[in-house]
Amino acid sequence: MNNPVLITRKLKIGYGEHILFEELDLKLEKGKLVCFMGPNGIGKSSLIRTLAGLQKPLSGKIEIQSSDEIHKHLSVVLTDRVVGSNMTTRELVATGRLPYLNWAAQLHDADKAIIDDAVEKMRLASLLDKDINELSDGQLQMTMIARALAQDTPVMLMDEPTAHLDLNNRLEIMNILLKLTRLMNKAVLVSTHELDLALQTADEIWLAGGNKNILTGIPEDLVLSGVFDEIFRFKGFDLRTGKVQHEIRHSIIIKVAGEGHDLLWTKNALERNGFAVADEHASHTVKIRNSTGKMQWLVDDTVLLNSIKEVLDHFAESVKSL
Amino acid sequence: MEFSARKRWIVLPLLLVTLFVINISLGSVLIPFGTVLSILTGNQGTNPIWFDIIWDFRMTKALTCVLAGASLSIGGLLMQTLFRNALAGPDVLGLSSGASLAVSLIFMSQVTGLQLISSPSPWTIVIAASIGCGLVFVIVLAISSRLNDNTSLLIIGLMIGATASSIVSVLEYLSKAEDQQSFLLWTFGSLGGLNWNELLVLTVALAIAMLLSFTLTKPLNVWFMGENYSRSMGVNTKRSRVFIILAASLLTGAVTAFCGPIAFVGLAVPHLTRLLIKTNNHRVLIPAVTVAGAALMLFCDIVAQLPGSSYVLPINAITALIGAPVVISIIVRAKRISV
Repeated sequence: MNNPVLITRKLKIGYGEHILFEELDLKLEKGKLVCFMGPNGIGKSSLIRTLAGLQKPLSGKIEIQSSDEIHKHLSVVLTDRVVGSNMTTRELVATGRLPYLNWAAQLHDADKAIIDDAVEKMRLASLLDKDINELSDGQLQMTMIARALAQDTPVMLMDEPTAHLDLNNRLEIMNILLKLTRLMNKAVLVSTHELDLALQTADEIWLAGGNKNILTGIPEDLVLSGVFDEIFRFKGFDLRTGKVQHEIRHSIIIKVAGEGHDLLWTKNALERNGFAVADEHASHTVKIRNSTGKMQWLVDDTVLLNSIKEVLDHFAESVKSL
Repeated sequence: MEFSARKRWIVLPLLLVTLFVINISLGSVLIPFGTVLSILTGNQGTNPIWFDIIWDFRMTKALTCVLAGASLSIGGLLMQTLFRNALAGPDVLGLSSGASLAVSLIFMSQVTGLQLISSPSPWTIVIAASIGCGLVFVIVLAISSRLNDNTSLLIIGLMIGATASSIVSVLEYLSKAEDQQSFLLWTFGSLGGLNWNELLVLTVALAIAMLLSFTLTKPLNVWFMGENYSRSMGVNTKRSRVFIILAASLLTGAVTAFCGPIAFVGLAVPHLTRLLIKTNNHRVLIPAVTVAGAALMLFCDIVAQLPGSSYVLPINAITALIGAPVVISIIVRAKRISV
């Protein structure tokens, strides 16, 4: 049923007297995307480095379910800045083959095929001959993931791969990582502090809490148990509804009638501006018309407006005159 | 892409052979070019003195150029990769100063009453210079493992160099004039005056270090990504670091011992080579830098001969004249400097 590829037993990590985590019994399974979450500075990077064998644990064990050497079993994408000149995207991806090469570092046809495959999966084909200094942050991150992919390991550990990227790049990377678990049966661990993305893509969440322990579970269970609220101490964000809470600043209640996205965004605009939106006890109504492809908003069955901005302006005026 | 890179490769050996022949045919005694070629093919020729000049003076000097240029350039490449700093090189990090200190101890030890050896032989100077060079490198490296900052590292290298130089000054102040002079001449740098035995020492040093460098291709290729990434790909960074230091010290130490502290070649050649062959693959870079370094040193020596005159300028003046503009252009051209 499940295929654990990495197991920790009573793992304790940190630096000397300074303990970050202890009593960790975690496991990574094939074909699963695990998001590792927690506030900044809690030790996410240290745990990833420890799992990767780059840092010694204080005590406990990390069991690798493989007879291979660790660098053929596990690859990493770290936050370490990579700067190199005179190097193309392709050459950087190719460094992932290093564990398999002889002393002269010569690539064979089989290596090249694996590199090509990694390049294709990360959609880097158009950037292959570009100098890595010319890549954008997002492109460089995709290249580093392709490099880890070229290392051809069942386990991939990634430290904040979506940090400093825009929403589009973040989504793309998370989707690709999810695909890797589904298509290539890889075990992927991603540390991130982006809650929305993690909740929507992860098979499992590791949540680093305050007591030097890590809670694990599927996203939905963790959300409903309320542990996220405890750890992140949200300010104005309701995780259960997935929405930002807006303070109601105006006394009027508006009933909005409409469908789909039109309704969603109209409500969003009104709530964002401090109006209460509800069906009962409403003092005003907004009806959204979208018949001929042209959207219009009918306010209180009398005023016809052409944009949400005009609706907002209208209510702002009526509030002022109260 | 790959083809054009291979085509460019051919430029370097051609350049090397051409410069080698030009270097041999020039000198304070004018020998017709045709005669030079016929002597090179083993022909005794009309003038036996010319034969001796070509084989015992010009040939040894040209070979010294080749060996010294190649060694210093590989040394420079290794250190630029190791420190991930475009401005690293044997002289910048105080290695040559360390060698100078060790050699000056040999030359001027008589005064201090230590008298390490009665008469400096080429072998003792090689060993002394290598030890001096290696010690400085180990100190620089020990500090660098704590710092992780390239700029501080360069400043520390310069400080170590300055310290070694000031100790040399104290020794000079205390020593006799003739000891001082032989040391001073050594610091000017000289590519002539090596006999075939001494050439053999240089060759062996270069061969060992080159072999060592080739076995380090894998770690060198991923070194730019830093320790964590290198180790995640199975590179034993601690062991590799020691071997890189060993190779670079051997190369720099041997050349500095025989030819004096020759500046700028080790720093400039890797950059010049990368202008021609844009790669970070050390399997290509090491041989390319070897050939380019040999060619550049032959060129510097041709300039130092001041063609048409019997004066020979100190080689160090020429290498700096050619190397300094290269360094300046690197800083001006590259807005972010990396290796």
